[in-house]
Amino acid sequence: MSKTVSVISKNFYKVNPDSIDEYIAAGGFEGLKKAITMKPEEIIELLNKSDLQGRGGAAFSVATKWNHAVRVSAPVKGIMCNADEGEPGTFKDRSLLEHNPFGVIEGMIIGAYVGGGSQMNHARIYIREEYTYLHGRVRNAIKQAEERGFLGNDILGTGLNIEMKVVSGAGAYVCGESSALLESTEGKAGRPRIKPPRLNNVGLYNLPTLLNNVESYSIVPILVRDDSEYRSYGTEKSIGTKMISVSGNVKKPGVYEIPFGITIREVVYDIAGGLSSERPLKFVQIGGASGAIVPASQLDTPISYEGLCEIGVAVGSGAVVVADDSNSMLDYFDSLAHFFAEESCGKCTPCREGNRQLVKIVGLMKSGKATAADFDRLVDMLGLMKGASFCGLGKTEPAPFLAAIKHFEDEVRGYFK
Amino acid sequence: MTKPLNSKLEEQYPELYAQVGEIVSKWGASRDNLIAVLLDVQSKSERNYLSKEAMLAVSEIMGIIVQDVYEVATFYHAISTKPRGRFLVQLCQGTSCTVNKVVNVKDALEAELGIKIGNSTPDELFTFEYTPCFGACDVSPAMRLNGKVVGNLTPETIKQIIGECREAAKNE
Ligand code: SF4
Ligand code: FES
Repeated sequence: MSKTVSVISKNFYKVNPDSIDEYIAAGGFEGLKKAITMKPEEIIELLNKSDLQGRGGAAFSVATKWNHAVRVSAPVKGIMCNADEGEPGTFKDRSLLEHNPFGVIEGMIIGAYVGGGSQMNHARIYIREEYTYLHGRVRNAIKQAEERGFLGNDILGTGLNIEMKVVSGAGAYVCGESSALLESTEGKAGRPRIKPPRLNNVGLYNLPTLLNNVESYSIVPILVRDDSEYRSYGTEKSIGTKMISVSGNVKKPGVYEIPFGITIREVVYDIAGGLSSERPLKFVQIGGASGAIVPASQLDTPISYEGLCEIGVAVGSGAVVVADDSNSMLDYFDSLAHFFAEESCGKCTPCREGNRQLVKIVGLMKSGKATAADFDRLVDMLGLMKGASFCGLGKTEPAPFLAAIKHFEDEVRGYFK
Repeated sequence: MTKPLNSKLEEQYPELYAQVGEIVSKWGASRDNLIAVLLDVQSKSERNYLSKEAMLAVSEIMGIIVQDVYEVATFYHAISTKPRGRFLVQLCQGTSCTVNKVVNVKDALEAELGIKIGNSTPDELFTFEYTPCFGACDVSPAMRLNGKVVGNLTPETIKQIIGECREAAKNE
């Protein structure tokens, strides 16, 4: 039996992503049509029932977020979609935009209906520059939705007004952070804002703003239309399904939709075909560059919020990067340290300077000049960054390093003489 | 548009000024279009970068102080304020590409181009640099060649791809 499912990805390769007619024929916009017969509170209750968590990485309850939005009433609001998928090893939002752009748009319209402004909604899909080849497809989808009256003024006679646009990123990982994303959308350098005020109160163009990830929006119309299939999957505490990106040393890298609760081992060996090198697996990294390193001994951990939490790992963006035993922890550290040093926005000292030191220490490790004192410095530094950084980038970055030190202590210590 | 009545810059660089003006009117002069404008202006430049003059023109025409334009231009990876080669080769340094031994591809590219990563070839044909993960991990190791993803790289395919670039440049 196949271990993948297709609820969120139901339209993939079946419905022409450039044709609104095909999307409608496949049940598209039925979620929206049903939504407008419901009260916003009822829709939130529905999301709450499935315990939908944000799918960008932070896993914040979507129902709670939308509930906040309803409580802030304003004539004009911002509705944002975060398609700045920059977590290394993650490309599932890419496939959602590629194969189901109307689903994302429909989810955003429902979002605007529930938590939007009474007179006008400025909706923006912020797509990373690296996905420039998808900007046209999404713009085209917006245009078709406008022509059919799903966007624009007085949508389906509800009085709801939305003007929607695609905004291009320009290459900056930190823009995945919600307030940095808004700064960037406004045409500024993407540095995170101080919070509070929360974006729910003061967001895009200082308007109250509702912001969700591509996958989160994609799930909404499915739940509103009929949540029974989605809810038939998963575990008691992690209801439903998840889009994951599997890559690294596996035979069949790609985007897959899995029910919550299957194990990492099943993902690696049954879904992704096992290791391309036929060598033993050394570790996987779950959830992106700031996700924890999981050693082979923990492969039977289920991929679910509670299952991963038990071993101190988060679902994150749903990335699964697989490494066989030909990979040294040092090379992996090198890749991570350079990535974060490059992407740190420089606003706060722990992250900006911490990353410089991290790159230096990794350099010493590579040249064989690192000492035991450097090891202590490394651990101190990571603790400091975790505790004192301004935004999620610096706060979560230490996770893979600390996990690697824990699980591969002998190897890591071996680089320090 | 908020451009001044008498622009020295316009007198000095009439072509560039007109081009930037066109791009600004296409996107709109409000601040939130700045990144799109900069990307667009850069793409029209022969050396695939934003010159000082271009930034000054954007600043004048959009009415945004030049410091702000410069800050944005230097903050983002996709915008360069230094001239780049006709072919921009950006090799992924991400985790998935790392475990798929992107280092071998890097060595092959350095040998083929005759330069170390982080540099341009003396003939200004190629600029070769590292870039963060661009979401093509399913075909790792991968690079972007003038923005286009090329995946499943091996030292052999590198030879071929670079050869094709040289060929294309010759026929231009
Ligand atoms: S932790 Fe600080 S320096 Fe790092 S990205 Fe966030 S705000 Fe910028
Ligand atoms: S890690 Fe290289 S493209 Fe993602």
